[in-house]
Amino acid sequence: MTQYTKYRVVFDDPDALDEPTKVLVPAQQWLDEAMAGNLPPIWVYWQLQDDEAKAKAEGRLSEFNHDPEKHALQWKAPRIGPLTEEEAMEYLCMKDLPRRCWAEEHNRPMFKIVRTEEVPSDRQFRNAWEMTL
Amino acid sequence: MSTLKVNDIEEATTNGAKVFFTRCWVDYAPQSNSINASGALSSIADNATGDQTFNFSNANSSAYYSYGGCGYDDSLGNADDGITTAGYATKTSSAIRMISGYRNVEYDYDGFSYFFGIT
Repeated sequence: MTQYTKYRVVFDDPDALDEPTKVLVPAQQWLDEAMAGNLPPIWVYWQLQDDEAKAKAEGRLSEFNHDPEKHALQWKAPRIGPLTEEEAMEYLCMKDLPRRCWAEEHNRPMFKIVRTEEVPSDRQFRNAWEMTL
Repeated sequence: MSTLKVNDIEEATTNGAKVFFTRCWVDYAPQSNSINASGALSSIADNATGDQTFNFSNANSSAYYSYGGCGYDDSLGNADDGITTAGYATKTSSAIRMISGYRNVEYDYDGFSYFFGIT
């Protein structure tokens, strides 16, 4: 059964503004987990992303493995409790969007949470899509 | 619901060969940009035509994992018009950005349905 989730996230990557606007589609299974309260605090994911980014910056990505204790926190850290669908979407933005989209200041918003029906269904000119504010 | 926790699973009938699981999978419809079904996936970023980032629910221990994808497009009208995975643009422990193509000729192609998994 197709999972038509209620929201999408339209975003631009500040480091690749010449690319078409992107659209993030949440997975219904993940949303269900979020709304059931089964997610760890968001810093658990940020910690892992930071460690990997640091390894990349230092040129040691080819031999990089996550610290087992930090990695295990994804399942062992205390759960944050049930989220509403809107809160889950905000959590998803902080988890899956490039952090530079939402954690840095830009001269315009780099992302927007929209209803699914607001995203065009005709993909003929998909690679020319631009975000409108 | 109860959870089974074990370190290894071996087949009983093939001299104890180890069983490995798919860590993340998705049945995705690029042309409608919708997820039909998924497991251990948090989201898909539709970056452009035939260009998607698959974000995993949880990070893997490293970026060393195998991946694969294939799909089809009924509208092309030929049985061999498969959509193939051309390769990845970026790969981290928590996401992979994939480029898909048509008959290995026309890249950046949106199929009707696309199946992707990592193990």
